[in-house]
Amino acid sequence: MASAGSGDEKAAAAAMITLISSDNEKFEVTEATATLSQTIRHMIEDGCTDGGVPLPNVTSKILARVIEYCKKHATAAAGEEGSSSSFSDAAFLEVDRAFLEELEEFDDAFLEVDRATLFDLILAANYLDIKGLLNLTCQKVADSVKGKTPEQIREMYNIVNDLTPEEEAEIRRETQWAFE
Amino acid sequence: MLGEDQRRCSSGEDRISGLPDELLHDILVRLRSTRAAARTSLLSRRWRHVWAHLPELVLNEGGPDAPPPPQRASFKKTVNAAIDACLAPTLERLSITLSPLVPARRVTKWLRFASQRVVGTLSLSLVSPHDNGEESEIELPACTGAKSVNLDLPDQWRLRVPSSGLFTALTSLSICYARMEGSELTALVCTQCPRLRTLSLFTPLVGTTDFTIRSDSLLSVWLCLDNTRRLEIVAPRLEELCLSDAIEARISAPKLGKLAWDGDVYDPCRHHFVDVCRRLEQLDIGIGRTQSGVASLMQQFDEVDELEMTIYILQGIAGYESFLNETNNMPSCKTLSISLAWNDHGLTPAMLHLLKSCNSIRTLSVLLHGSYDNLESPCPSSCPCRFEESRRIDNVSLNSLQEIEITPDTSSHSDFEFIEHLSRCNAPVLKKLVINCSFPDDPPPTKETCEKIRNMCRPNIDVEFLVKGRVRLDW
Repeated sequence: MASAGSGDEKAAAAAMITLISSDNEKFEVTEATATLSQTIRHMIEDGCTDGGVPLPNVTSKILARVIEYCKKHATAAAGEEGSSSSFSDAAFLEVDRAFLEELEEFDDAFLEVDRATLFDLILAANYLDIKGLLNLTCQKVADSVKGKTPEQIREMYNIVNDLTPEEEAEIRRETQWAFE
Repeated sequence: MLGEDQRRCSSGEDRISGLPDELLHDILVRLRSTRAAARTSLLSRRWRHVWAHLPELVLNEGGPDAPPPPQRASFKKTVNAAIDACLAPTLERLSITLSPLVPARRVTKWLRFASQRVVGTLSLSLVSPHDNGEESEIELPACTGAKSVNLDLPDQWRLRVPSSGLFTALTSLSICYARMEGSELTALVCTQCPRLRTLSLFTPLVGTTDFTIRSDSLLSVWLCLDNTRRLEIVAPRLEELCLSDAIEARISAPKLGKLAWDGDVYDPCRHHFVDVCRRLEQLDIGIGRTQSGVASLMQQFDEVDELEMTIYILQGIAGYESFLNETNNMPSCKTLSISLAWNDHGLTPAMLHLLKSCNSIRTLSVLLHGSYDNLESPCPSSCPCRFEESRRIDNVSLNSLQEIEITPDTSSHSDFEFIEHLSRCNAPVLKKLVINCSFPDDPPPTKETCEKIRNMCRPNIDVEFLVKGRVRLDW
């Protein structure tokens, strides 16, 4: 009986998924890591992950980063389920807080990427349906735009102003309330 | 054009404009400001109408993107303009915060817009700090799609709710300050909100009237309704209830687990719990300045997992005796949380009295505040708190007590006297004492203080000092 039990545990621990990037690189990840992506979760539920999951929209460079994010956050999710949060148990609270802080630091460091990578991550998070990563990356772009004039935003993101002076004047008139 | 192309090549590609609208919305929504989002219309043709389709309108005066104060008067124009320009068929959020008085007719227009578009949260906060506006009536049309409605309206307004129309999707409703008609409120809660789970009302009723809640869906109710004559609650699924004053009350809530009694007077002849379990998860009560009848309220329950008491002991002998009378018989509980504001009575006798009345506890949590070191008018020597007997610990037996958490007042020494007494009580399974030094400006306790407290306790009690609830002092 004991050996059967440990066999089951091994099977659970070994539930690995293979993800295949657009440039045909293979990544072995645990199911817990992979299922942070709702897209992959649904594929697993439908039983169509044998032989690997092809992700034609994601390059190996970006997929590696996405997996890095998912690994870290999958551990966090597992930690949350296991821990107690009884108000009187200050020790547990302390552990939780320390872990959350670590996670925040990880996220901050994770976002230290060039703009092109940031947009690739947004597209990948959207395609793979990873809510946390999408929140994180979109917030980063939003924060960079906050308090900036349209000219500054254009410059920052290489947006070409294709409005005619007449159109521009019209928009300014229409949205005067947002500028004054 | 060539120059422009060259510039594009040298400084990189425009990736952001290539994102699908849905992702641009995800980004712009995170600006948490419709004004800031609308300014992106000037970036290029691609951006011109993106903001207008955003699923959220957030127009908060005073937010990080608010116009400077001289222009604030025009903010209501901003709200009108944003609403007129909005092209989203449905809104997950409509949030308007505005402090100068707005004419009610404008707000009626906003609410009508909200009732047609909002499928998520509607938040309207229009409370003016200078209450000199006119009395006005405003109508809340049925918001069939909204899941959550939060209205903070000036208290000189009267909020009307037409009896026709359903708030079909509404699960959470909060109304503050504006006056309401008891009968309209009753109809709203009983018949017009079939999915309502959380109700929070902090509003005076017009005249002195009755209010009835009959709801099969409500789980949590928080009421502070001035001028309630008779309150009736029949809520078979209700789990949480916070109540303030009602002249009469009749409450039927068989699933009730958490009760907070925030009113001044509890009178068992006027306030009836019918069909309420005699065992609660949590009971939150206050003893002190104006409250009375707490003892009778506690007698409604045999067992309370967590008893939370906010205690203020009035000055003089009568004040102390009243405290003793209110707390002589307490329900059996596992966790006792005391928040104690102190004046001139002894801390140790009062705490020992509570522990005698509540001796089945496993966890004790005490938050102390107020000054009791430099007494301007110490209570007379004939006050029961001064009796030698009231400091006796040989009759305090805490056989289940495992853990104590104390958040002392600023570096006061009475706290330590209490801890010393507590450490000598008969508490055979006590294994942990946490001293929480959470006051922001206080220096953490010195090593000497920590050692002194450790030396008071049995060696097998783990004494821990936390600063601001997290940093553990190692000495």
